Amino acid sequence: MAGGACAKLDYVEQLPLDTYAKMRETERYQLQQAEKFYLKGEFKIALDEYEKFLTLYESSAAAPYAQLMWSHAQLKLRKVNTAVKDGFQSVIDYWPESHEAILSKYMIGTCYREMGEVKKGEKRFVALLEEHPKHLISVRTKRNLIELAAQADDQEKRVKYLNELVFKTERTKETNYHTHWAARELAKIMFYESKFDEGLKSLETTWKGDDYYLVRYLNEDVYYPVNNLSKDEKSRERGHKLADQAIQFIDKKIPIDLTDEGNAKRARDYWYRKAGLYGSSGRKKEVRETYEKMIKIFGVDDDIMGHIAGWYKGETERDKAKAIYARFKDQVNGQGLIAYMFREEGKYDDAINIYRNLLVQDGDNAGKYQWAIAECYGASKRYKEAINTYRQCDNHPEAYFRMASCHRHLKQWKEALVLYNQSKSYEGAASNAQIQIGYTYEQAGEKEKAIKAFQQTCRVYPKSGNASRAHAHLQNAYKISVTLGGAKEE
Amino acid sequence: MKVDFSRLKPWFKQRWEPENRPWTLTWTHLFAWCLCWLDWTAWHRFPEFLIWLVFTGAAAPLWYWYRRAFSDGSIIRKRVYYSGCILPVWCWCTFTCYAMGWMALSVFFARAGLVISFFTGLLWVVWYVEKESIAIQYARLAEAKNKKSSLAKDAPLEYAGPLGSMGGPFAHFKFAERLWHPCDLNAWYYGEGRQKLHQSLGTVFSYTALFCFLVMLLTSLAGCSEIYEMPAGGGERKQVQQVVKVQKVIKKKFVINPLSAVLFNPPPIDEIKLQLLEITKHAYAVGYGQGEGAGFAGGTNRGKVRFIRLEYNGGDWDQDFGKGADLNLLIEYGIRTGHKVASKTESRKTSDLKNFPKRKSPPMVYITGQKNISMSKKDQKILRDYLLEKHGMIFADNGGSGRWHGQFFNMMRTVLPNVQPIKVPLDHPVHRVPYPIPFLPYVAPHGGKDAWGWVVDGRLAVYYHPGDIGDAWSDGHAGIKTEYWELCFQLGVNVIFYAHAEYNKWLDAVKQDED
Repeated sequence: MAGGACAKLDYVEQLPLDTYAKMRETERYQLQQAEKFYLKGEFKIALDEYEKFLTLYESSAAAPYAQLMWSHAQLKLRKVNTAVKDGFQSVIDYWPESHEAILSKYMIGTCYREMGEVKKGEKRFVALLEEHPKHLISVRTKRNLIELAAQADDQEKRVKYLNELVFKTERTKETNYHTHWAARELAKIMFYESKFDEGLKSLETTWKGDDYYLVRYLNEDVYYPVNNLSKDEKSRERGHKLADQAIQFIDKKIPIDLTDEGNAKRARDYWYRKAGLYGSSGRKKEVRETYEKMIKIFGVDDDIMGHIAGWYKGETERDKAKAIYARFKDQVNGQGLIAYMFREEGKYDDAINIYRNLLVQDGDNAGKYQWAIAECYGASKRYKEAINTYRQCDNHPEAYFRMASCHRHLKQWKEALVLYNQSKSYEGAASNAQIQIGYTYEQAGEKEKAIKAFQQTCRVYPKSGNASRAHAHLQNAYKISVTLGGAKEE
Repeated sequence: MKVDFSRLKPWFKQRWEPENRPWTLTWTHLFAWCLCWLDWTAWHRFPEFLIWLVFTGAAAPLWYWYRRAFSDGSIIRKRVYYSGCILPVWCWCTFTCYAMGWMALSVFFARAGLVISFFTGLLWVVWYVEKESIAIQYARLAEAKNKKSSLAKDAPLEYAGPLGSMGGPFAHFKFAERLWHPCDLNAWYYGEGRQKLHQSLGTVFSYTALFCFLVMLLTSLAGCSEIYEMPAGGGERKQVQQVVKVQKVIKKKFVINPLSAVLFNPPPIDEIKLQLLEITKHAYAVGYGQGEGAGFAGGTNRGKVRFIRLEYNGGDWDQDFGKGADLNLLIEYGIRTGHKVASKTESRKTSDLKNFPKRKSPPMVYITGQKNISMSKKDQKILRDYLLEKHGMIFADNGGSGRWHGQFFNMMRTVLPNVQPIKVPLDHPVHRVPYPIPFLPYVAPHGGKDAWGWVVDGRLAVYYHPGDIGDAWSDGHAGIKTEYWELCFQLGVNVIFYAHAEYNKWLDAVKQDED
């Protein structure tokens, strides 16, 4: 591929190698120039360069490719109609036998889909599939048809094309991405219908022999069907049965020889997945038993304890979770998690005490703990202490914003304004700082300055979300419609 | 059947007697007033001036009855008079603002009037119930003392005392039969204790329910039927083109004496610049189909392009409404396309859309706001039918928040569940005709920076603008650059034109099918 950029271009944007071989050096150069701009995102220039190529080398073997890329550039500029009528259709009309013509047919289908003309798109895809059933593009076409069927809620068609992709498509480097997706989609549908074996069969087409990924995707794809089925009393039995089938399958895959580190790691992962499946089917007793068995097999460690504590937390048995965190071998981690739980519960003093101890024990992460302490002070409305603590943190401009916010709570407007103005020097934070200046003036009762600051937000940062907020605020709070914003989509 | 009018003559004569004349005139005016009100809200046949005249004419009977009411000093009479004034005054204020194009003020008066009417009615109901309740109790006490009442024979009397009577009747009776009168505190459904509280609550609830029912009845009456007609004419769906015409060519002749002692350097002929005057005009009439003048082949001579916005619950649907706001766009549309346009913008409830017949419904309705959109399932169905069956289009404009963006998309998910939103391409006809829009202009990016659309059968059924385009149309143009607000006007014109042209196309197709 020209310029070695094929890795960045999608399959439908790539130049076939045999065409590249037939090109003259000058043609290659011109195409490289065009591609350079295309990859840089400068599509208007790329458009001109492709046009130049077509003018200079009309009879080149790469002419259909240039026309195809011209159409892609139009697409990137959001001129979909032009891309179809003057671009892809031209490729089909002028070079009907070329590889690019097939790609163009596919692209016309996707363009129609993008324009919301679903029926036209579907028609094009079906025609393409009939014309080129073996072509690589047929895989993508089928995927599009599957997505369209899902949109139209046509399960029959969806399953039909999924089956074709999963069971009848040759697996290659180029098709894998789509066939893997299809295998998982089909499995999910089957699991929702409580057809565990069919779902598994679909996954096995892709990951048979690779137990780790098979178990991982099985678990991920069966999780939500189990959860949804188990929630409803009518389908609960089916949900439990599905979970049991998945768990039995995972059980069979658990390595027996745990002396090998890889096996032990894998076995642990499978056990967690089992516990997760019991949890998703709402069977607490089994979850507890699974973790107990894990402790028997692997012994007590922070990893397992952390999972158990997390589960207790989810079950709102927070004291038990804290007790488990307290038993962590890694006391710093355990205490940090307890402190976090205290913060969640609004017990800020307890959290601060723990963080202070951690400051001593784990000096390397002092900044992290200082921030946490400052957050606790802020949340418990001790703004002076919060400001002092934020001052010791170095994650700017976030610390400036927090300090300014505390100053505003203390009605220290000047200090807040100084901090917001400091924050404006950070490019990403400037628009937020500007709007906060407006709010600060507003709280201080300086209406005129507040209006100016909001208008400034609209005028200087018209494309930011803060411009939207400032505009709405000016209209609602001050009944001012002249907000000075305005911009254009690029 | 033959009507003998001579028999009616004495009746009319009697009505015209001096003592009956005020009543006759008042009833006649009331009848005319009701007709005008119905026309204003539903029929849309009478000229606005006539309606305004009739509404203003209500001042005459009001003045007469004012003098009558204040002649004898009766406080009740005065209060009845004041209450009676509410409806005509409310209607006059709302209509006058509407006629002047002050839509926001008109909406304010409409809402304020509703609230005032509710509370005035409530006060009268409470007053009446209380009065009747006391009267019933006094009558019963008197009967019990005289032992005349058949009721009192079975009903031993027991006085409640000053404290006890605060929450219930003066005296307790035991009745052989259940009493049903709602003004009677001894009615069985008020229970044994706290009868007064139960009576008050019952009164408030019953009155509120009745008031709501009446409002619903009147608003549904108001929407009996309505038609929308496009302006007649024809034209093409093409871009506005700049035409440069050579208006005057000034040719300069250089008369040079080749033997002259003065050295001349006449420029070569090619370098003589032609003085051209550039003019721009439409090379064609903007419209659709065959017809004289700019317009739509499916339109009628009295048809006009109207700008109708949707009223909905939960938010500020009336943002930038009326004179100095969305009316600017309608006027601009008229100037730029040469189509006949309405003199003011209007609003309709979603439920009103069902009152438009199939081929005479508005090709486009506008919806904006920045708060919540609350729409009942019934309204969603009406909107779905409007978009799919009546071939309508929604022009949505995010008036000021990311929340409204989410609210609108959620609403569309329920209205058109099987249609996925798409980003409207920049070369879509809605962005090209009659004005080519090179980029999407916005005032503030409330809902992102892309225009979204919902496509049904190849037609854009919904166009969503993310950035408060309505603000750019209003006076002052939100202070944005001329380049942007001009584009906002052009985009507005494009959307209105697209909706009407597509509607006309559909009308043609339906007609062809029938033929």
